Amino acid sequence: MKAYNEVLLKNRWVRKRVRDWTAKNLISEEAERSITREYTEVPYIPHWFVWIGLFVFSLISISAGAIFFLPFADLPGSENYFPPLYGLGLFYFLNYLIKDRKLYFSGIDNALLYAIVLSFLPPVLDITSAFDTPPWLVALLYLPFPVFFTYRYGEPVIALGTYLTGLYVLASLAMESPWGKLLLPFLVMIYAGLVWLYVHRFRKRDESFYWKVSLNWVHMATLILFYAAGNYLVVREGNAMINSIYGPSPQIAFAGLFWLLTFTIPVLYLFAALRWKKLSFLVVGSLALVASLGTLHHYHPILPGEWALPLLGLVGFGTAISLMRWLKVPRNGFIYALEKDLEIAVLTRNIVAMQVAGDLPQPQSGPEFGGGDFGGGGSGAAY
Amino acid sequence: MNIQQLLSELEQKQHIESGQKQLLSQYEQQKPVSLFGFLRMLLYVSLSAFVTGAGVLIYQNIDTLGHTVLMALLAMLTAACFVYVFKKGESFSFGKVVHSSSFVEVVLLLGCLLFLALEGYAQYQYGLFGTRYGLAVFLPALFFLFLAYRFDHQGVLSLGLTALASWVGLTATPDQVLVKNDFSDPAVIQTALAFGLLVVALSWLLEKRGIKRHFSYTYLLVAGTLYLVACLGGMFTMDAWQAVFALLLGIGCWYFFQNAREESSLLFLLISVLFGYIGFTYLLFTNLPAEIGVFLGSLYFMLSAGGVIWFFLNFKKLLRKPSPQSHESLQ
Repeated sequence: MKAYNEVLLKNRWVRKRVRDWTAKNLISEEAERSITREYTEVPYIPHWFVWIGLFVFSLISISAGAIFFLPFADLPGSENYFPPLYGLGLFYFLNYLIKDRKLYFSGIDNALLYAIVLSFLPPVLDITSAFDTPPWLVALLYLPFPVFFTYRYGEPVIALGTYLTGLYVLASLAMESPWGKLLLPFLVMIYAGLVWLYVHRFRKRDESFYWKVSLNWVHMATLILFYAAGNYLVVREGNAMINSIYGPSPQIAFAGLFWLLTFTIPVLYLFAALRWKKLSFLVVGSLALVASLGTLHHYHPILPGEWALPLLGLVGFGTAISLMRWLKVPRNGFIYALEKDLEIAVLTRNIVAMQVAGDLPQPQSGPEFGGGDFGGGGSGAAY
Repeated sequence: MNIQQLLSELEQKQHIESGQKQLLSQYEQQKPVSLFGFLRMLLYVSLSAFVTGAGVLIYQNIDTLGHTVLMALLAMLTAACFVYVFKKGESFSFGKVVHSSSFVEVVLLLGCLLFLALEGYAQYQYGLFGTRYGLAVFLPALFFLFLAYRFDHQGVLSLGLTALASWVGLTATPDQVLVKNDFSDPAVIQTALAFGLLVVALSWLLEKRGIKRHFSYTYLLVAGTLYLVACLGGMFTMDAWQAVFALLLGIGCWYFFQNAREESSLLFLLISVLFGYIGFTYLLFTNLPAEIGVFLGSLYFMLSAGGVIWFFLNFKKLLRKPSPQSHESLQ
């Protein structure tokens, strides 16, 4: 039932572990060589930039391939049965590629999978529209497809899609009654909490290995959703939106509770990060804390925005530098040790530098600054 | 499979001994979580927030009492940044320099960005360079290029190059390249071509002389990409010169391709293939009769994209270089 060869995935994992042990001088290079010889075959996983190329050109190829159905476009109902038919063809091709070329999330298989999962959408929409089906039922009827593909391929975006389809079923069902609308944030929090609990427990089991990547993604998504559903700004503005209230959003019920949630959830996440030594909690917790400060600033600005941003930057800067110094030796299960500079890191630094310089505000009054596009200056062609 | 099972398996297969197994098991249990990526990201995001915020502050508080104090503070901070890097930074070398203090790099960047914000303000408020606006970007460009070489900083080098591009009237900021530059204007196309050619030629010369060889990466990334975009702009808008621009694009892609091999950069490989494919496809479709139809056109896209995929899957074999070491790093 699983599409990817688990032995190859295990070999890859073993080799990664062993490389780390050799780098830390825990085993000899000779031992590494003999283990690598034992776990020889690994799947094909390209470098990030090659991944982009493979993904983009796979999409081009898949889209162009659909044109072969064009001569039959005039047949009645063709728009409903040709996509799944094409999807079926792609499905067999995908399985052949995975088996023969040992692809594993290589950009090609990802693109094919997305196309296949989407190809089953038109007939579901067609059947349901004929019976005037409510949206939650449409999503529920479609749900088996992403569930099946998540199980078979463990691809993270499909897994995320499945999780969000489930959320859509719940939310659109809740929207049908006034009580559901009122309790929507809590329902979403319960949904995120339950999925998180399942993921948390399942990850401890050995058989979760095959779905490791997608479980990591869904884990992050549940943390984000759980926070967002309890965030005061999201609830207040969301409430105004679903009740079609334009202009300033009105106060919401349980406002105090949502303010409490806005600030306790990030703190809880940061606490979990320290307790369980989890980077995912640390990342989401930090982002959530910044979002909570943003929420507070939105409704009760303590400082003007132009002061808040540099101050926040200064605090972040100071925190980062102090932690970098403090964690030079391992403390509380965390460490800051220099790692190899990857090409993507060099690229990111170059882009950040250029971007920040380009985004620096320009003086408002002046043709004299021409096409000003670089920090405070910028000459334009007419300098 | 978990780590304990793996260790037992390795012991059973006699790859490790029982003592090693215990050591490894202990290591895996106590292994600290690395915050390298997280803290670096926090540092750069905070730096961006601080500089952007400070930039807004300068202009929002003009004519207020605290303004002078604010400016003085920012100027002092900028000066402090430069004093710090000159004190703590390693001395100059033609090769790659790794600073013993890990903060030199980020403090230098902060100093440069603040300098830029202050310099822009001084020009705005006091007309520091009068009407010689070119000078207002040319001087920081020179200053940044000097600092980039002095402290071996590719981020500051890209700042210097962006300023230099701005001096000739181009925008090299990543998200603005296609928005601010009008690549249907022949003057912009010619400027970008000349700028790209000159800068890349300069980096080639410097590389040949062994001066900061690793800087070629940033030179090519900033100036080379502008050159390629200008070639495509020329092909799309100046029909009479289409063949010339196609040739220039081909040369550019070939140069990127060569650098992809030499620098072991897969980003250059991707850029070369993407620009080459767009240029070739455009050339093909504008010169073939419209009668070839949708079917043949789609067939072209399907097969050519398939061909590119095949190339990406096999490029390691195709790009095999005499030195096995460099080949290994192309992964």
